[in-house]
Amino acid sequence: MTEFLAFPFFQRALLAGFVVAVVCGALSFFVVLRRLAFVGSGVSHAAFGGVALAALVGAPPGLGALLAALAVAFATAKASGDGDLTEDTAVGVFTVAGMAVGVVAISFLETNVDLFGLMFGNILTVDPRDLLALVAASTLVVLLLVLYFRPLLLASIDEDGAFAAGVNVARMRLLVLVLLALTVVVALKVVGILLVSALLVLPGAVARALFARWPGFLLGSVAAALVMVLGGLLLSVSLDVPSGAAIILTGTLLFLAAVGVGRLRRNA
Amino acid sequence: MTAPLLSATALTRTYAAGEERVVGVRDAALSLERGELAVLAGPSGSGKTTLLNLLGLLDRPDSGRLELLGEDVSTLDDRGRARLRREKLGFVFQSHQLVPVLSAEENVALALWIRGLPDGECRSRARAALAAVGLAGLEGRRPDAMSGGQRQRVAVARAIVGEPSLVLADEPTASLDSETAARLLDLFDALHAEKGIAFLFSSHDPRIVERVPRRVRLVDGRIASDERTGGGAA
Repeated sequence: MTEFLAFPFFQRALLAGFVVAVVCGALSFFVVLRRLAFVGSGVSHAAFGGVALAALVGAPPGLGALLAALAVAFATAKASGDGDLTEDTAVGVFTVAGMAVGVVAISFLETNVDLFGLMFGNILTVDPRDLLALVAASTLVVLLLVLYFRPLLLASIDEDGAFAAGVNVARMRLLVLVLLALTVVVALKVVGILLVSALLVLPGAVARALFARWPGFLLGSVAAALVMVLGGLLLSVSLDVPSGAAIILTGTLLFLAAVGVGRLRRNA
Repeated sequence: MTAPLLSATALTRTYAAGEERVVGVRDAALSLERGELAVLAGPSGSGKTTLLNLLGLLDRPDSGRLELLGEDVSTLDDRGRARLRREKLGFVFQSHQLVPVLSAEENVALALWIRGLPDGECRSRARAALAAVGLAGLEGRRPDAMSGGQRQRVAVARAIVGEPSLVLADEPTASLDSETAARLLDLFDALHAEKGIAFLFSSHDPRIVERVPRRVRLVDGRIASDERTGGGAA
């Protein structure tokens, strides 16, 4: 298997996998703590509409995905902040709208769109430009997470308490959604639209089963994401199976093992 | 003459319920002195939480005037109100949730961390606040390893760690058994006596209400009586 390491495409895939794992692992901490799994899934599905529209007008697919994901994030924050809809209802509405826009846009396309790659991702096709965009977006996400970690943490658990303590809760709600949107776009190439939400949930779920305190939870989440992405990547090239699915299956096995270890520990 | 800690005049707050307006609080006038201990008493739906939210700058009245430490807060923007909440007020709400992945010390320190204070100062002040509420030695314990009464004490420590002038508490004893509730009231009393912090909390439990030196009773959104032990009805 080591012969793969000599190939530039595999080196790029490894680097992309590492970056995506760090970002998804860190954000997964908040997704699991704040129960945002459905929101992550919704934002990723909305990105599908953006990719299809971008293909229709000849724009870069990543840009379309980013704009659509951000649009859904802003619309969700506005609708739930104004009290018109709950956050999950707003995501549910915008998700299907995004998917429908995508399907309509694809029906107008005269060229073939790599739907399989879009839906399930292919980390092995990451090119240098993808890698650059991925590193830039990831750096922004990690930077924002570090800067706003504490108010985000308080607002995630106790919104009333955070508001009372002077935290701008509406801004924190929007920030989480924007971070989710950025991360979904970052991870799109790696695991695709259908599987990206798993990368946002599984690492945090693995760490939550093993660690009770936040430093372990956060670092464990990043570590679990690294094992998922890099382990899945190696599994993918060894068994010649799609990389996105291999990554998620590795994460699922890791989750089952973590739950088992957690139960053993509690019963010990 | 020093301005009262808090002075409310003719506060009214209504809510939309379909095509009708429901009165939360009407024409509430209340003055609270520095270091005072008072309770808002009344049955569910009498307007206790609405009035606490208005006095705690968590909500805006439809009309009326509110002064905190002599400053008219009626005209302040959201940022100014957030600053006052952060610097002058502390809150213990029934809905308060402690962060499950943080220790008691970290939960209390979090209130200072978000102000950008140095880590060492946040932790030492958090430890002092936990000691003040009788939880010395439990700093490293997580919320799910504490009793309901201990968790509520952590919430009180979080409310006082910023050295506020006034702590507002919405039904802080509602989820506690009567013995633990009585101990929490003892704690309010001790903190009010030792640190000069004013406490204003709501309760519908007559056993709690009767122990408090000042009792403001609400009925259907209006202040029906304002009694002081020894001083009779105000």
